[in-house]
Amino acid sequence: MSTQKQIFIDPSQSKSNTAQQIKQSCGSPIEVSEAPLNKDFRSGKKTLAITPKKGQAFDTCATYSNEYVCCNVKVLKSIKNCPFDCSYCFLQDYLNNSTMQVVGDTDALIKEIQSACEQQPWRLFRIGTWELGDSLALEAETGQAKALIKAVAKMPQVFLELKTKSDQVDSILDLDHQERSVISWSMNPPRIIREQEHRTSDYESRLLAMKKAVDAGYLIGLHFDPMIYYDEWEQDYPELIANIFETIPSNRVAWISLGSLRFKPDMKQQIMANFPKQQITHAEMVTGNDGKMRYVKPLRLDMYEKVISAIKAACNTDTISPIQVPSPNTPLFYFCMERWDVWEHLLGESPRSVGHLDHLFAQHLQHRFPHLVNNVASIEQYETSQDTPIRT
Amino acid sequence: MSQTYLAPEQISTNQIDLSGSKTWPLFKLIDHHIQASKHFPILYLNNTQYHVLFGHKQLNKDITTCICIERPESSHQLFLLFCELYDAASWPLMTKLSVMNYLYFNAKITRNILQKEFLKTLNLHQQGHQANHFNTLLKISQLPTKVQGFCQEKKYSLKQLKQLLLYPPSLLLQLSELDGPFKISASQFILLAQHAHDMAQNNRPITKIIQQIQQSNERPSQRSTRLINELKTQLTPRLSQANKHLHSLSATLPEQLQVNWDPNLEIKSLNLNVSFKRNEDIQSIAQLIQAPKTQKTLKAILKGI
Repeated sequence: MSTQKQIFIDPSQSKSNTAQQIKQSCGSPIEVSEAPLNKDFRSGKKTLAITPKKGQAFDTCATYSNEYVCCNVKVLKSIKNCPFDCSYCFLQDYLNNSTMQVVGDTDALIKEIQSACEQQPWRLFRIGTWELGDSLALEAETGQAKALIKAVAKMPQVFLELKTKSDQVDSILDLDHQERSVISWSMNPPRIIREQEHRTSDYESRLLAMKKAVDAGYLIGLHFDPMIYYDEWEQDYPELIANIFETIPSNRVAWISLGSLRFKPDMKQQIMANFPKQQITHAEMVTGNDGKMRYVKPLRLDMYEKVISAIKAACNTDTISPIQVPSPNTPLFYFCMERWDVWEHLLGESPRSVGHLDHLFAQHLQHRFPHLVNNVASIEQYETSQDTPIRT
Repeated sequence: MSQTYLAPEQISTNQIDLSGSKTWPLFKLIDHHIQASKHFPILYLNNTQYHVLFGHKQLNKDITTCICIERPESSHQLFLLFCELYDAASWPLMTKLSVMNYLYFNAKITRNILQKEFLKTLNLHQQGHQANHFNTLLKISQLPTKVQGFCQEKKYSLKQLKQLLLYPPSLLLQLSELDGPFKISASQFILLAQHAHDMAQNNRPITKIIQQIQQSNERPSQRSTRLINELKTQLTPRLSQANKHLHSLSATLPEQLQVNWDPNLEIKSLNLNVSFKRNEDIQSIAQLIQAPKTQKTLKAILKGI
């Protein structure tokens, strides 16, 4: 993945472990006090800056909304921008500075996680580093994931989620991870990977990396998100799911999420300008009241139904509702940014609140991996610890 | 930069050499704008003879004031001076772009000089990646003439013009030719381009739809609105079908009860509007709502959202 041309480092980070890793993998970085400003969406992908942690890195996933059943995953903003070039990526319309930035001070990041754990000692945290970039795409250069994996191995309250479209797992396979890190893949059929997820690892490489991670004892996360509508979707998505579960056993998959292509209306033009050959913006879409364009509901329901059937078949189960007591082979299934009625239509039921779904994650993981989760706090604690949207 | 100076109070016409006079090509591009405002001919003095540099037409209109300059040595300085003297920053946007197109393709002024010296004079400069910005401006200036004329007339902003670049020029030309039978505003044109492009990408031609609407007796503005709505409907066939079904169900409700819903079907919710005129009606309306047939219909509508 070493495609960037220039690497910069903030002087305060020059003695960090990240700096040592950079020196080993790419040579000495250039010292600058500010990450170089790149206005152009693509040119920033050729520059990597190692920065100190600025402000609070620990937060709740930005998609959290009262309108949807959200999973309340926490995020660690440790990476900004990504060397990949996915046509649908929201970052092309989001970042003020497109220079890729990685926080070098991993100790400061870890302290924030510890502090969150101390403040809510009863809860189970799922924390991802993927909000503004790919968790592993720059791992060979920075070693950030490695440091975080080692740290959370000693935190019984935490599952760290490293979500990627890469195959960069080799450097983390031998770590003593204590199964507290979940290596997740955002997956789409090969055609979508080829045509829309530019510069990412190809389909076969991702499957191979997935197998390596399972063999190294990691739990896996699968995100069929964004699902993209195209002529052969009906054949390709079930085939994708079958292939994955032929490669890895479902009892090592911690969770599966499902969501469809969505973007702000302004981004449609951005996508068209940046990717003139793409076709994804021409499908039947509407603007929801969250201001994002998405496929019309009848189409989303069709697409989700197909994928759910394929997951049920692959996991040999009648239900994948997270509300039901899971079998060891059934990963926790959830939708990303969908309303209660979509859950009910497809699963027959839905979590009653964001807190409920958050609680279900803890319960589910404890049930399937009792050695990893000791006690699960009450649902009331999960529901009252945050603003809990109530269905109206 | 060449110096400008005031001409003597009076220049005898025989002091002006008009023999080689012809309208300077660049002047043609801004001719309309110049005529609409007060600008003076520009002369330069060579020995004792004044030569017309720009503004022959003005000179022929008994203009008594003019500006004299020292003729710049390089052509790009001459063009720059022209832009400065004629207040290029105030020219209409499409005129500026035509001028830039001329300077690049005809006058062969280099990209570098245009970016560095002319964009600012033309008030077209922008922060960010200059080469990308310049390419965008050039692309706009290469849109079909008919489209440029339409944009000029509708006073498009640069932001709006950039949006047009997302669509094939042939499509824009086709749509700009509708102006007349259809009355299309600037924003409607962009929306039409977007819908028509989406239709084309889905292999659904729009010619028949246009012809059908064109043959109607509606006013041009009504036609435009209908065309946009028709394309939108055709682009969302599943949604349109679902809404049609819901409307057919709601039509079977008693007339005192009216329902509406989010036409995008995103929010699963039904609004029931009840109309009554007298207190005594409340009871009968409650009965109407509770009637098995009504309940069945309401449930069916909610299910369909």
